[in-house]
Amino acid sequence: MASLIKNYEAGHPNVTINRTSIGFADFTTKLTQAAATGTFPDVAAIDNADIPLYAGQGTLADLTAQDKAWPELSQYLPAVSRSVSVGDKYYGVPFRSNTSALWYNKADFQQAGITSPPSTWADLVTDAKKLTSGKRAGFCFSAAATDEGTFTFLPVLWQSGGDVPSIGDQHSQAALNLLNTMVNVDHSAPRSVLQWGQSDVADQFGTGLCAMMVNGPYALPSVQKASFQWAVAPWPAGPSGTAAPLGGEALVVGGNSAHVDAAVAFAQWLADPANDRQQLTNGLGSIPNRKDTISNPAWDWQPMVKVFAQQMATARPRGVYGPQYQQISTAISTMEQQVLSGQASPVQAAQKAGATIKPLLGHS
Amino acid sequence: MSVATPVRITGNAVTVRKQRRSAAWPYLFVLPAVVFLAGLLIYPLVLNIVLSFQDTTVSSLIRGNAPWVGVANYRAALTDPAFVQAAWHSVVFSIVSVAIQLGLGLGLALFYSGRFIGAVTMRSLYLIGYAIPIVVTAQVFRWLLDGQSGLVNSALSALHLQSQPVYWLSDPSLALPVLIVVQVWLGVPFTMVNLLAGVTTVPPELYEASTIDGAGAWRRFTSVTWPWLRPTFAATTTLSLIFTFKTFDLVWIATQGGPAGASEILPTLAYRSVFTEFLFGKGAAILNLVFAVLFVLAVGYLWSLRREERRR
Repeated sequence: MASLIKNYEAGHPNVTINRTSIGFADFTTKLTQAAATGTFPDVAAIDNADIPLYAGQGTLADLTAQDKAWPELSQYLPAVSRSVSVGDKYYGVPFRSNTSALWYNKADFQQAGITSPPSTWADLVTDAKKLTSGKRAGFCFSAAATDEGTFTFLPVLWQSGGDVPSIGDQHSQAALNLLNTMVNVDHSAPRSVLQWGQSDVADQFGTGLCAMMVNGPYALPSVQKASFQWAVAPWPAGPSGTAAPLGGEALVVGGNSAHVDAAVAFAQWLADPANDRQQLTNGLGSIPNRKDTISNPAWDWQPMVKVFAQQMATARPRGVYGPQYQQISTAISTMEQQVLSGQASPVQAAQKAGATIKPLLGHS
Repeated sequence: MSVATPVRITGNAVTVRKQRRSAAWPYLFVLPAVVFLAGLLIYPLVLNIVLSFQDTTVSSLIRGNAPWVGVANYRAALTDPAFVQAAWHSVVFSIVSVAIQLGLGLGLALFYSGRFIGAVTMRSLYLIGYAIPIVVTAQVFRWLLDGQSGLVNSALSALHLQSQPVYWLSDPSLALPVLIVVQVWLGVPFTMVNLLAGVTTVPPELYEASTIDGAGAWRRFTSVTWPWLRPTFAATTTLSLIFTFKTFDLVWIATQGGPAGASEILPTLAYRSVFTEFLFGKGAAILNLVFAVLFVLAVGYLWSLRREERRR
């Protein structure tokens, strides 16, 4: 990122960029504080799911005209360009994208006599059971009481044929049932998933304590330390096929910015892969998110990227659920925790969450 | 000295000015402290109270035009089942862990007040635990207690005390009790050091005299140690209650209030409301209720201090 900025400043001597980087855990806290104290930056990279929240509140500049005039926008996958819009207005420039997929330990698979990664929910359940032995869990994922838990649950919900507005129906119950079977019936996934974030899951997989996990490309540093052979496969398909969540950041411009045009120009330059592909790929761990990069071998900065790019084609944004997404997210992770900790049945928990979510949808 | 004469001539004026100046001086000296307190304590407190009566959103925070909504935020907080549950957890968490902490702290204080080889070294070791940042302690306990890969389960199963792994922090009926145990671990050094200081102020003659009068160990404790220790004990209790009631980092790092709210306490609920759900007014209302409890405890603490001073 630093070298991208240096390159831009070299080509645009009248622009100075002061960069502040904030850890993921503190990010929304710090940005909210910045918004509250009137020091929201000219350009910020924010989680694409938070765009409706900030946009609905007037914190972000309306970039509809600039985005529509930008020839690159049509190159992005529909889910990606949709993630920077609210209604018919645009509030951001797509930047770095990622998604999640299934990572598996090849040595464990060989030992259990499994020749290929699971391609359906049924395979996932049987394989996880076969792979569980002693200290090693068959399947690991994050079910934490935060958006990390929701980020991991949503693809399962979509694969079941369900969606957030209809939580409470039989599809959402089937999604909960799948995870409940592995955690509480087969014990092929440990109950610890309730307190594991995605980095904890990556560490467990990297140390060989999990034969399969669901995680994003950012798990790579923990996995690269491993001494075993591993690979990545798409999410196993549910009744409604495979599906994955769209993660990553969009570049937005502060609503109070005195340099909207310069800020937009900079954001569009940063996002354009023509300027610095190296930095966007290896440097930032981005998964191809455009029609012209998704099957371009030059973007495969790591063998796993090919699979992630394939999964990216099925990715769905979370911001579509409106400005109260974070409250909805709490309801979803609570629902999952109630089921996996044995406090409620999938039917009870799904119906309760559905009632909580309904009034939070859509309106601002 | 020749300077003396002119001063005496205008003597009257000088004394008056001197008096005026001496009346202003002390206030000037406390001014930095007052500015500091006003800026860092009173301003945020007032702001938080104002916030709790407004419907504040991300944008009205910037523009400062949030509409007044009366007690709606308090009503929203108090009628939320999650609040009622978290308030109950906060009370249980604070009272149970402080009670255990005081019991253990008192026992250790009495033990280490005795003179034996290594007493000073050993009691200093307790302070190491106290000096480690809570973030580190919480993370270490999270690893130790992990049901899948934690050391606690490994040790228990190696000793054949466990056939199935216990998910200490993922089990709704265990999460809060386990956090209480960790909180006790964190708090015992503080109570021990405070009570030890109280125990060492007891004049040794009193013990000698009571021993000569034929008092046994229990009688010496109830008639000599306890009456001397009581004010310290009261102060330590209040301070521990304050520290425990406002605990946030331990719970947030270890369980984030989970599973499904089973270990949610008021500070974590308020943090979640403000920083992950952006419900500023509701979060402020919860924090003001927490503040009210802490304020009452703090007044109780000051009152017990004053009473102690008056007795001496």
